[in-house]
Amino acid sequence: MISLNALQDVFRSVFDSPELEIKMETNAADIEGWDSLMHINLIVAIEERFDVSFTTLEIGSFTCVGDVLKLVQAKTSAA
Amino acid sequence: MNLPGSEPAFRTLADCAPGTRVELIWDATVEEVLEFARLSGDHSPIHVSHEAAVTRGFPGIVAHGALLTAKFSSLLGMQLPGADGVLQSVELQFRSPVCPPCQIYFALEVERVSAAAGQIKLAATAKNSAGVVCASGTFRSLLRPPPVMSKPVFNQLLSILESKYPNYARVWKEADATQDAAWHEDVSNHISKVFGAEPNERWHEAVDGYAEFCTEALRAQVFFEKHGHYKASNYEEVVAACYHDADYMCLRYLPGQYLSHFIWPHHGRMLQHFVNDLLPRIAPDVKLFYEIGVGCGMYSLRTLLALPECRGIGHDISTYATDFTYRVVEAHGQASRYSVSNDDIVSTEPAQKADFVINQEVLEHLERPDLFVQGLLRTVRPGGWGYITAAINAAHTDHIYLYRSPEEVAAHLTAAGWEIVDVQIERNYPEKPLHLQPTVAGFLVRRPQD
Repeated sequence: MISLNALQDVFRSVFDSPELEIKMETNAADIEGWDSLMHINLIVAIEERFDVSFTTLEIGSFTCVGDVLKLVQAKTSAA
Repeated sequence: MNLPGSEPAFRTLADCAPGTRVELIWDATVEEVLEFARLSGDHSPIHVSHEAAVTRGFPGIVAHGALLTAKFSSLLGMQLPGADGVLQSVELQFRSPVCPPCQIYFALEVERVSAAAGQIKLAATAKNSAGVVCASGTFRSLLRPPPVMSKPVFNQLLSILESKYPNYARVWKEADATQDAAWHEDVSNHISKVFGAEPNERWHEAVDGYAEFCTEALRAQVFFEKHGHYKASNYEEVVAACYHDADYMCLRYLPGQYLSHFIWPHHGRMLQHFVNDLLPRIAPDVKLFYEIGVGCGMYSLRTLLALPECRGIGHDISTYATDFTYRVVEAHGQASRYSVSNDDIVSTEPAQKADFVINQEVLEHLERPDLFVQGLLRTVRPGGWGYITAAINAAHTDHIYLYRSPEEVAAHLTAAGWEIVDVQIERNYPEKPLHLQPTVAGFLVRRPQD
C-alpha cells in the first residue's frame, strides 16, 4: 500500500523542497506556492509516479494530503 | 408586522382585512400651523394671523387642510398599510375648521381590499373633541412589498462550484471579494440569460464544463512547462478531436470558455478594455462586423450590445460553436442583427467587406497564423478595423502554434499589412519567468487605405 512517505517524496520533488514534511491534514494553505497550476503539477507527478489517473472531479475536490493518499491507495489496490 | 411607534409597521394584505382600524390623537398647536405655513409656503392670513382669522369669522388661526392630510399621511405610512404602502389617491372634504389649540382624533379604517391589484381603500375621518367631523374622505394605497432578494446568480453558481470542485473555486471567490456590485449584476445577468435564472441542470453542466476546461488548460500548461512546446501539433487532429465533437464542445469547451471570460482575471481585463475603450473608439466606423472563430460568442455579443446600429456575422468551422453563439446572442435579444455561418471566410475572400473583424484567441489554434492574418485583412474594407488577440506561452488542448512573445504576434500582423493602433498585454501567474508566463495579447489594428 502506498505510504505517506512515498507521497511525501513526490511533494518534495514537485515543490523542490527536500525538507518538506507533509501530514494527512496538510492542505494548499500550508505549502507556499501550492496554487492551481502547482496542484496540477502535483497531480501529474502522482499519476506518473504511481501509474494512476485522476478525474476532474477528483482533482477539483482534494482538500488535503489525506484525500490524495486515500484515493491513490484505493486506485492502486484496485488495480 | 411591527408594533406602531417610531418604526413603521410592515403589513401584508393579510394584515389589512376590511375593518382594520388605526387611530391618532393630535394635540394641535398654533406653532405647528405656523411651521406648516413655512414648509408649504401657504402664508394665507387665516393660517398665520389670529386677527385676520377672527376678522373672517373663525375663532383663531385655522390649520391648513393639507396639514390634516399630512397627519393622515403619518397614519398611512407608519401604521396602515405601513412601510410597504404607496399612496395612490386622496379624496378629502374639509367640513369644519380646525383652530388650535385643540385635540383632533384621526381614524383610518380599511373599507375594501383588492388582492389582485394589491390595493387598499381606506375610509378617513378627523373629528374634534366635540365629535364634530372636521375632515372625511377616502385614501387608496398600493401595498407593494419589496421583492425577496435571492442570492445573486453568480454566488449561487459559486456555491455549486465550491461544493463539487473547491480547488477551482478560489479564483471565483477572489472575483466575488474584489469586484463591485455592477460586476456582480452584469455577470449574474449574463449567466441567467444563457444558463437560466434559477438553479437547473444547465447550471451543473456549466460548472462541470468549467472545471473540465480548467483541468485541460492546466494539464496542457504542465505539459508545456515540462516539454517546452504544446502537445498538439496537427490542425486536422485538433479539429476532429475537439471542434467537431459535440460533447466536448457543448458540455466542456464552450461553457467553460464562456465563464472564463468573466472569472479569469486576465480574460476579464481583456473584455473590459475591448468594451470600455476599443468599441467606443471605432463605433462611428462600424456598420457590419465579422467575428471569425466565434467560440462561445462573448465578443460578438458585447459588440452587438455596445453598437446598437451595427449588424454582425459570426463565422466558425464548428457548428457547435456557431449554435452556442447564436443562442447566447438570442438570449440577449440581439439575434435580429446577427447571423452565423460555417463558411471558411478567410480562404474564400468575402464579396462584402466588413468594417470590423474580430478574431479572438484563434491564431494559436492554427499551424500557420501568419497566413491567416493575411486572410483576415482581406475580410475588411480599406480603412476597416480589426481586433486580433493571441495566447502566448499559454497551453490548451487545442493550442498548436506557440507564440513566445507579444512581439511575435505583432510581427505577423504588420507583415500581413495591418497597422497596429492599440496593444493590450495581460499576464497570468506574473511570478513565473516570461517564457513560462501564460499571456494574452490583444491588438486593435487597421487595414490601411488603398
